[in-house]
Amino acid sequence: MRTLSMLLLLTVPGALAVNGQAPVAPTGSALIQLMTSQPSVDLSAPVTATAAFDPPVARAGAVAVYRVRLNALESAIRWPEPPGARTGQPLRPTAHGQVYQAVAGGVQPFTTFNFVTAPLAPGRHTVPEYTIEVNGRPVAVPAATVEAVDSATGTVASARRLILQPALTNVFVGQTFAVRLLLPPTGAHVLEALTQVQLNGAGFLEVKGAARQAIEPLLLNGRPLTAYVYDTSAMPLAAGDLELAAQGYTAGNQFIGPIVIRGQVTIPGGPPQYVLLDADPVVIHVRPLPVEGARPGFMGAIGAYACDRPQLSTNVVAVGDPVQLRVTLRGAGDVGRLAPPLPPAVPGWQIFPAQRTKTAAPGIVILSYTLIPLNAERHATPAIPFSFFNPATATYEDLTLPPVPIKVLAGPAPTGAAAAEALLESLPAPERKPALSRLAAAPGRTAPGLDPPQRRGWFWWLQLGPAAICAAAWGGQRRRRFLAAHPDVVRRRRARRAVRRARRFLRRAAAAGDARAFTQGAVQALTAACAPHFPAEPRALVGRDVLAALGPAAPAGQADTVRRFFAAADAGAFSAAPWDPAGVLAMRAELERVLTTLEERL
Amino acid sequence: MKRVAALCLALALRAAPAYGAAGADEFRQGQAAFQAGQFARAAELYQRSLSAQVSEGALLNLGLAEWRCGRAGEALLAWERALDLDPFQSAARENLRFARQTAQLEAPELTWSETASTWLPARAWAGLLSGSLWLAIGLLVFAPLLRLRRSGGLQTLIAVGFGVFLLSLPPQLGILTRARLAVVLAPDTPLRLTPTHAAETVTTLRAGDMVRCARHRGAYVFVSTVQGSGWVESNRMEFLRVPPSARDAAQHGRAAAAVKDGNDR
Repeated sequence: MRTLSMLLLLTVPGALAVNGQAPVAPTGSALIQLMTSQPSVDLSAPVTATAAFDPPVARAGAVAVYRVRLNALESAIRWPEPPGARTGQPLRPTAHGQVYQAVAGGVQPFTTFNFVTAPLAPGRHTVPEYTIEVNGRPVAVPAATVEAVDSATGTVASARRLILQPALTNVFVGQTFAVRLLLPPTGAHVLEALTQVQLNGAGFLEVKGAARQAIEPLLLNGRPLTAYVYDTSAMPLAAGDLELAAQGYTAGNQFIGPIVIRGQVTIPGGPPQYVLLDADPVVIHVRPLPVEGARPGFMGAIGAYACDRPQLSTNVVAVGDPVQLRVTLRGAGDVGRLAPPLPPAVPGWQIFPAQRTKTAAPGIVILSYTLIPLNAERHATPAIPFSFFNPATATYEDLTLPPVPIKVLAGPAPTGAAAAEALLESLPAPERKPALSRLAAAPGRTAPGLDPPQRRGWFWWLQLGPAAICAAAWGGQRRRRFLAAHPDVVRRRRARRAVRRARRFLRRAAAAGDARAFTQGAVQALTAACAPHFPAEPRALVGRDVLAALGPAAPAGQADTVRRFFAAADAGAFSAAPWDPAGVLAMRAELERVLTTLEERL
Repeated sequence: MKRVAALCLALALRAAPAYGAAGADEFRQGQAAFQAGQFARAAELYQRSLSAQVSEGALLNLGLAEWRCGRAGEALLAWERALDLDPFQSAARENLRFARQTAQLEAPELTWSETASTWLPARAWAGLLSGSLWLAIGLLVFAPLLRLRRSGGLQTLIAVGFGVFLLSLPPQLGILTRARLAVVLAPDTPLRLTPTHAAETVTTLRAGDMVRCARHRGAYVFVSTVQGSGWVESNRMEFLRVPPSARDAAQHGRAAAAVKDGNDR
């Protein structure tokens, strides 16, 4: 705003106020009042020039900035030759700019020119006094000296410069990319604001609206520090290897616009010094957009975009009546500069170019097309071709706005009451306006909580129940099949159970002194233990079968024991003579050994 | 056997939804207070009723009372919960439409699985999931045990069981992801660029805006909305599904935030 007012002052004759001039009488013109309310520009002061190296003592092999400052307008200064031409000291111009600084009674223009030396050889280097032209008059620029010392001599400061960090160095023409400008601190975390920041370089367009500033901690060359950060965006307009540089004035504590400060820094007070700083240029490799693969509807959009479903203001329209087609485009690229896709020339439709509406949300733009159906044969709006170039994949992607169904009523727009009524009848029933409901009379359906069962642990534990039942059924079925395929296992298991039962019976009979029952139990146990070997029903076996099951390898005496028990059983069952059972009960130990032998073979 | 049957019956009665038991008195008192024009009192009574027993009627009436009190965020939250409890409840849906149209709020953008999960109550989806799965597995396992012939009908039934199970999987995912939805309760809630109080404000959210939460960091939650993404103080919003203890804590936090905002102003 201040620059604009200065321009106004310089372009309107008689509006320029100089020191000591009488104030202009108030007039009725708002423009004149605005101009006269601005501080006066002091152009009458004698022009003086200063020149200095930054730093005055530099490390050998490092570069220094040669800075010339004059209290004059930049447009009034003429350089007859480069400052280093006569000295042999190569000086590369890097930046120049003009700033207005407050002086007593107004403001004064100050112009600064920056030059960067080549890597300095050890020793003293002097740019002698020379003369330049300001407003056609010679002005002497004093001599300036820089001393390059060996790095081992001591700690020497380096030139104060900006650091330019583009997010991408390999881009396409028209692709917006982020650029970060850093101002490292001086001394003990002393930071200043930057003003009049600008990107220099032929073929680049700076996107000013995307700029923001901050002071934040970061890592620079692996060293943690807190720096002033100026984030902006640039867009290349030409292909090739282009150099991108930047410059800006230090502004002390004069921050323009909002700033986020993180970390501990010291911001100097007092009036700003307005020192012009510059950054080394960075080469950006800019590629042209590929010709092959281009799709219809490409309007230069570069980035990643998506569009919502287009919406019509109405889905029933009479011939000749306009209808609005709204579509919301979302993009990660520069949506604000997006050129809306041009409407196609479609028979039966008159389509006007889109109106673009930027929303408060970043990355969203709304396009509104006005369409007029010219006849009633239309059932959908025409597709509007649109495509964009995706730099991530280096391909063109189609994002054609799809047709939207619409009903076009025949004939001209209804004018009479009957036609209006017919039109109303053809329209869908108006949507019922929502309204608040009445109070619920009863609590109605209830739930243990707001969380659904799926988000509770017991629901998933509950699934273990049927899983366990199914697993048990499956295991049981498998076991049954196994036993059906191996009946020998079943017989042996039954025999073991029968022997255990018979042994319990034997013990009870022995305890009761019942020799007859003891004998019968012994025979049952012996036959049950031998049954799986034949296989046969235990009751069908005789003593010979038990002896065969014992085999010749049985311990001595066991065969006799078997014979004696079977003989005793036969005697008890069939003999008419009286039977002496006393000897049978005494053979209990031998019987147990025989049963043990037979059980081991099951 | 009788004891087991009695135990099962008792468990079934305990699990079955109870109608008009706990919280019924507060519900009736809330209705009386609402009809007397004491909307704040009615809202408090409905909250008490919900603390005792969550019911769709109490949620619906709580929304109405909060709306009359001018608390759009709380009203939308209650109606969203009522609709979550019973998706067939047209009154809550109508109220949500009315509130969003009046307050010029946008409905949340749901994924397709989340949309599918709203077709039935969450409990129905849970029953469908486990019922269909175990029906199919049970038929596979028990058919040979019961000596059922492997007929076409049986195999069709098994295939249908597995099909229903597979089809009910996406809604389960939707139910789980909908748990990240929350409603902004405090008006003019700043959506910040970073999770700090001094961070740059990306945009301002209105009471009733629905956000989708991604992650927590301290007292802030990273949310995405239709208007963009950023960090929001967690005490300025409330999740659709939140346990009562967390709800009480959030209410205390909001009260503190309101006091703080008042002091700042």
